[in-house]
Amino acid sequence: MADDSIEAERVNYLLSEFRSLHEICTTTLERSFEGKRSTTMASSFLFTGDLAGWAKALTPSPEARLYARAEQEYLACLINVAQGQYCNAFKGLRLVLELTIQGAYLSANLVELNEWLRNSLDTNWATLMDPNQGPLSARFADSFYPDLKEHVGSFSTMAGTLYRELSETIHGNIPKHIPLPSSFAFDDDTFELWHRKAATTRIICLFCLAMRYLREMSEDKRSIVENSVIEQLGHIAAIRILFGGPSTI
Amino acid sequence: MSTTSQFIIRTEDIKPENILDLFVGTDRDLAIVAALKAPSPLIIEGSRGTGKSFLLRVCERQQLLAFAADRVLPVYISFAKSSLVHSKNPDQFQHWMLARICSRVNRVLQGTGLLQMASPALRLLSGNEAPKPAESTRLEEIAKAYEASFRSPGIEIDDEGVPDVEDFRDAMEDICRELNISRINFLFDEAAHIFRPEQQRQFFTLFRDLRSPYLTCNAAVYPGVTVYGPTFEAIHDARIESLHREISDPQYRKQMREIIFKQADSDLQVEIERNGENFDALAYAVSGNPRLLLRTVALAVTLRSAPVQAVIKEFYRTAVWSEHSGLADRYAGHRRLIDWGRAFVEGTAIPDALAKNRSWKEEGKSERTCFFWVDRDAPEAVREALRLLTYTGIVNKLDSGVVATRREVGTRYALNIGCLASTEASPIAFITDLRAGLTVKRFTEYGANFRAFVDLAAEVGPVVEADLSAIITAQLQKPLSVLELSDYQRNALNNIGINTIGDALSSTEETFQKAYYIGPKRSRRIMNVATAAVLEYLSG
Repeated sequence: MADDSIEAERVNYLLSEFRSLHEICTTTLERSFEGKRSTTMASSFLFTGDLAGWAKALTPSPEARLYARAEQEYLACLINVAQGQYCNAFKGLRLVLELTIQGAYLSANLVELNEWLRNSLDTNWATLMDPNQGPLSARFADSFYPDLKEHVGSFSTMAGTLYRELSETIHGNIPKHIPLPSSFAFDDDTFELWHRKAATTRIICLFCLAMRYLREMSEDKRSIVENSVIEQLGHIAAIRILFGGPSTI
Repeated sequence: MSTTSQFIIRTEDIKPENILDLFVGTDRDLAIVAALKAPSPLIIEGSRGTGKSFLLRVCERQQLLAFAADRVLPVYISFAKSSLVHSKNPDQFQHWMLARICSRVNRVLQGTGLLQMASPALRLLSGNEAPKPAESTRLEEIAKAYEASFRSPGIEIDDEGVPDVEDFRDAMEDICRELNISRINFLFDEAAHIFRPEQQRQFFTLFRDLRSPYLTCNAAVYPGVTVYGPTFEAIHDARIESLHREISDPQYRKQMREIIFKQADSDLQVEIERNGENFDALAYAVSGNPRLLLRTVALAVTLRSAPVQAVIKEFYRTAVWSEHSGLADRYAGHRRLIDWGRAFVEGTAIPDALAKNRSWKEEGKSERTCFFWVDRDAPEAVREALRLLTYTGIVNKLDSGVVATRREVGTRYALNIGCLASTEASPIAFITDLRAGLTVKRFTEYGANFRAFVDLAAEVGPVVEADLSAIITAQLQKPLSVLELSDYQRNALNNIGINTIGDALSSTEETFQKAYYIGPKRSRRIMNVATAAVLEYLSG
């Protein structure tokens, strides 16, 4: 009897601790949607739709699974950032970046794709960023979308920089680009920083997907992804022209 | 928010181990670095901020990394402090150079672990004393004494122990044989003071005299350096390469973007990607000068149209010109030439280029120009004024021996595109239009008897060499505001009582640490930044 009451007390204690944490999450969630922040959240939320659209448009290609998984991970990032679990939110972004670029990489390497599906292959970041073999290489652009070749170098550098920055939150490096708050609570600077990095993740992922697939997609499938591609990559003439837009703006 | 405030603008502020990470080599840069490594002497010539020091450092770093295999030892030596040498000794500059060279060779041999025995040749490097690691050598002390002579101009320095050129060359050959070094590759930076012709003469004489199978001399100089002395022949004794980055190079945009990408965080990289045309406008405005690009991107903070247009107008209408006109304050003897140069560019060359472009546009022609040509028989004063404009990078000298319409021969120059665009209502649109049709075949011609040339020649008469020696004392009284420092750096110095150039030069690291928030590392960094800015200011 006495043991039961001690156990109950222990559980109650733990529960109350977690309720406190949960309350912080709840308070933070509300603050994350206060005023202009709701627009920021809504803007970042759009990327879940983008990824879902690409996964749908590319089904039944096997690599579409990676894009669906990226969507789920990104959703988890969003709830993390909204609740103030910033470190996880940044870590998740890196995974989204990796999954998307990995999908593009495997889509062009059938043997490795099948090995990956059988769980007998891991791809690492260095492979994905390979200047000759990676999805953000000039060679890749030449094969799938030559008109984007002149942009590939910039996006490859951007992906590398972003990956390095996000990795700070994984390896526990002394932060240079992503300083995390020392306490578990809402933090406006970190909130804004995450959304900026999410926007960068979005444009890089969409460029990677557009370069790999856009030219070989049917009109129907292309229309599924058109809005987000034009919104994010409309500054590139070759993309605008593909969707019937003007060559100059 | 971006990292623009943390850009490293000067090569001196980059750690040696990071040099290669930040290197964006154009084909021409790679060719120059290869030539710097080769046994033939090379002089690279470029305006401020074009990357001369950077290429010397790249060469040094790559040769150090390859030393075990190639046995070529690079020795980088900056003569930036030459402006401080003001002693009474008649051979002060040559002695100071030799003392600095010996000290640097000594340091490099120590740093590479080669300095372990005490042969006579190695003793020469220390001023005929046995080398004592971690202690200043006699020659280092002599070099420092010369560098402190600006405090008491005319002071006599005891420079006993400085070797003569022949002894030095022989010692270098002995060292190479003793230490199995196939060759020592000297990389002289800030090699000849633009406003001290006597130093230019002595430097090039030494450059020539040091030539041997065991030594190669390379140097970086400003375009205005033209006084080579009695023995040096510019074509035979070294190859001279201009470091001008060609804006017509198809890779130009990509390379300028890469230079910024190397130092940018991902936010700024995306901003550049999304606002490519605005970034390109900044990149073309700098006319090939990476340091100006870093400065103007940092000033714009974001790359949206409004701030970029504002920066182009502000920077190229005032900041660039204030740097040029500032030369007149320092070198009063050149004031008329400096002021005339500005008046010529602003009042004649730019309006002429703009009028041509406007009329071609109206006629539906695609050609555009930022080029002009000056007859080779133009008065000496005009050529001198143009030389000073190339020094600050407001015009770039493209080529000599260009035949113009009446079969006259002359020199072709390019106007800085930022200066050209800054007078337009929409600089971004102007630059976009300009670069699409820019052709070097179209230029405005100014004959030998062009009115403004004749007027200048009549007013100035024969040009005399400026003598800097009397000027240093006045320079030391100038406030820190004349230096190229950030607000943070200037405030940090003011807070600890450093208000003039003289204060900054006389201060030690301990002085810098007086500010309660400056620790040893930061104090050294601030001191380095302040010293580099002061030396650049004094160098012209």
